[in-house]
Amino acid sequence: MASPKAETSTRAAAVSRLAAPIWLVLVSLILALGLGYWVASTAPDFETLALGDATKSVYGRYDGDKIFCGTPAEAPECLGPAKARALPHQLLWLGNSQLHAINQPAPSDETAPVLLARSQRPRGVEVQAMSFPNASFAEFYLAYLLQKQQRRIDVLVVPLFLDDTREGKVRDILQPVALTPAINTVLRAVPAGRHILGELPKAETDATGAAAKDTSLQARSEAAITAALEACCGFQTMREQARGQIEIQAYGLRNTIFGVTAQSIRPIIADSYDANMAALDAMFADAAAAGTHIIAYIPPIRQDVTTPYAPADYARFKAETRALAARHGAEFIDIDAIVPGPLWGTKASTNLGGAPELDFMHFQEPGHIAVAARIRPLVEAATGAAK
Amino acid sequence: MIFNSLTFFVFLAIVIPLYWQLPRQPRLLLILGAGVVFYGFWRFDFLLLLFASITFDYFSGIIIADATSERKRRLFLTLSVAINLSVLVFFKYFYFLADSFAGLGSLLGVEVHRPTWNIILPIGVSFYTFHAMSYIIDVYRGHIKPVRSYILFCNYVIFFPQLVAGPILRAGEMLWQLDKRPDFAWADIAEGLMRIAAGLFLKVVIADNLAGYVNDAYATDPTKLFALDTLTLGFVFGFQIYFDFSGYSHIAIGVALLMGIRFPENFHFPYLSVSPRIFWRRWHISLSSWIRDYVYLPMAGVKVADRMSTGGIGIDGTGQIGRNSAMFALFTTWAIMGLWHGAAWTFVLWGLWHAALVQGHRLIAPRLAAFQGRALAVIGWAVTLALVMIGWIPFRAPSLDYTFTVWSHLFDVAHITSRGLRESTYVVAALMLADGGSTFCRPRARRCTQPLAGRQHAGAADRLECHAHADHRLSAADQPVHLFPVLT
Repeated sequence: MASPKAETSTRAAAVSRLAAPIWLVLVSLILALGLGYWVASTAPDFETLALGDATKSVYGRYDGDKIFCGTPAEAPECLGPAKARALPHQLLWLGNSQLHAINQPAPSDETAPVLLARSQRPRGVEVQAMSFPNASFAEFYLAYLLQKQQRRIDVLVVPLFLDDTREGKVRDILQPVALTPAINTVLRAVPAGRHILGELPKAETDATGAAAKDTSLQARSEAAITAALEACCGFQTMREQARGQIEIQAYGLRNTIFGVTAQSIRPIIADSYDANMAALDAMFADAAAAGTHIIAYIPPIRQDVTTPYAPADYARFKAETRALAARHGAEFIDIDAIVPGPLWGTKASTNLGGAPELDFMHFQEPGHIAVAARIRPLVEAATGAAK
Repeated sequence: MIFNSLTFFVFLAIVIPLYWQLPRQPRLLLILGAGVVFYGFWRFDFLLLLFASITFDYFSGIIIADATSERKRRLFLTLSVAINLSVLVFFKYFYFLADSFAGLGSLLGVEVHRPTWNIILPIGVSFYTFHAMSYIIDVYRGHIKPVRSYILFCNYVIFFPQLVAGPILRAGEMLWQLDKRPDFAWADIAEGLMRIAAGLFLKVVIADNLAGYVNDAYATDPTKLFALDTLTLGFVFGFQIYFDFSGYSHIAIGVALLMGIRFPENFHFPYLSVSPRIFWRRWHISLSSWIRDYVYLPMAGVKVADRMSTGGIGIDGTGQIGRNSAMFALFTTWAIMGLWHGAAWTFVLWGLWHAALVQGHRLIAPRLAAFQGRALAVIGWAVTLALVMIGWIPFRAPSLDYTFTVWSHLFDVAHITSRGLRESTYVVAALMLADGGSTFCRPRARRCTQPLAGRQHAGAADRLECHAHADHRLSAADQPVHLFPVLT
């Protein structure tokens, strides 16, 4: 039998062994909770990260009407008044954030589509735009098909950014568009459409109702617990905010480690490039078959500094898009040099704690005026005499 | 129920305190009820299949142990194994077999119609059928006595921490722990919580975030990739599956520890292995040990001693087995191992790849025996890691065509530096590799044996693993293994 002294010593040793892990768990828990709360209590500002402090998403209205139709849910608001007016010519201008954002905007500044609407509505041309940050050509195709379901499109204006060929995924708000039965049928009929459908998350690929909702007890209980925690403490919101913050920091960390900046060369990603070009081809083919007049343009990019494109890649892209446009009888213009250097701004650093970097995508209002001015004669030529 | 869910933690908060309060019989009923609820959160109807299998194996075990004639023992062993395999084959491999027959028929010019039944794969079926089979075979071999308590046997199969994702445990290492509750120890609780936290980090933070890169990378048209991309595809998925699976194993081990029950380790720094043989002593140890004891050794004609689910299947040398039968057993075993992971020829290819690695190592090892030293270890590690990672491609690839197309780029030396994937994919793979490399370069004796503070410069994954392996430092997988002396 162990002596009381030995027993005490054994107990002391056990307590000592125990103290380390418990101390560690407690400290880790407190640190993790504190860090988690700090991270999660601030909403990530993706717009500032993408556009910088000086550039704002302006979109814009003309005569009280919404010109930009950003999501399928907005369709009634932006398309309703247009349908009521029933102007003879319908124009859709697709784009990425260059179309809806302005660098150092004044309150009265307007984006290119609003400026075009101002000049064209009196001529009987209804101008509507649809733009998404970092839009891909596949997303242009879906946006075009969505709009085409809602109304006739007489003129289609499409900016061709080399950057956008690097985008692969279809964003959440556009995924349901691919499931709309009529659009789903169109997509299934062409290889580019089938590719887009194949890239969607599994449950989103089937228009026949097979978008299986998980009804297991696990899914329902998880939803109930999450809802209860959200109601009590904003748990879900904090979780999403934390995820966003971590993504931003990880992005910055990656760029810091590997020295990536806004001026780093962005090479063509072959698979993504081909898929996007195929989507562009399918969109132009569909539009041409429907008698839509297509205006394709190489959009402005800052020219007074080294651009973030490999010259050979950029030249190849221009040549291929020009050929593609010609194949479908589309007009093609290259206006990449029309916005002078001083009209471009900077954006927040893409590195952790770095200095602001050059912005190659967004410019000040005079840039929008210049773009609208170059598109305007083409539109007027396409739509004929004034009303 | 999945481990990385809020539901599971609510479930744990109810089950664990009750477990420590209840006396034996109600405690066994609690574990049984917990297993039923845990499984039922996916689907309750498939519990019928689970219990039918358990019940048959329970009675088979008793009949085999009590039978006086060898014929009867063998009959019930065969029946039990056949029924377990039938369940597995029907639910997991039916479409695979049907498609393979249809493909074969089409090659021979015969039209074979593939049935269009809606067969749902029961969660955990690969694990619980292997559990049950190991029990029956161990009873037949006389390694264990049959369980007379039905509830205890149910608990062995349905014990929720290992029910849907392993480790695959043997009756000999589990039943006594379930039967007699270990003494409560705060140290076990603390270690269990740390392992759960480590597992969640590996699974949710690392593996789940790697999954996005992996999915994008494998969705790329394989004809537009290059040699560097082939390596990247292998590495990025190799790290994802490792962190995912080892994370899940950590959680399972941690949850069991909250009940004072110790599971054997399932992963032990597999990517630091310096040969394919050592890799297979460190990767999914419970499965490879199972395959060793119930497939490879019987097939190679070696009598199996009483074994636990430790040690893995680092098969080396051919010992007393005929060279040809050893090679046949090796390749067949690994083909089965591949198929266990999934019903597709890509998994078979993955298994055969590893068989080829082990066989290649068998041939090369005697020639390398004269060389010693750090340089050889580093070369062994680098070569083993690269080959293992390249081997993951068929495991994740959608088809054999995809695999061979991607593999063929390795020989395209003209485009050795060309790239077809997104930059971030290379970055992620490089970071993971750097972490592994820095871990490997740490002096071996110091790894996992120092206090946490002393390991602050080790790789993140290393720190987590070491943290989780607090009481399993340089355990069985690192020691000379004499599991079956005729082979080593």
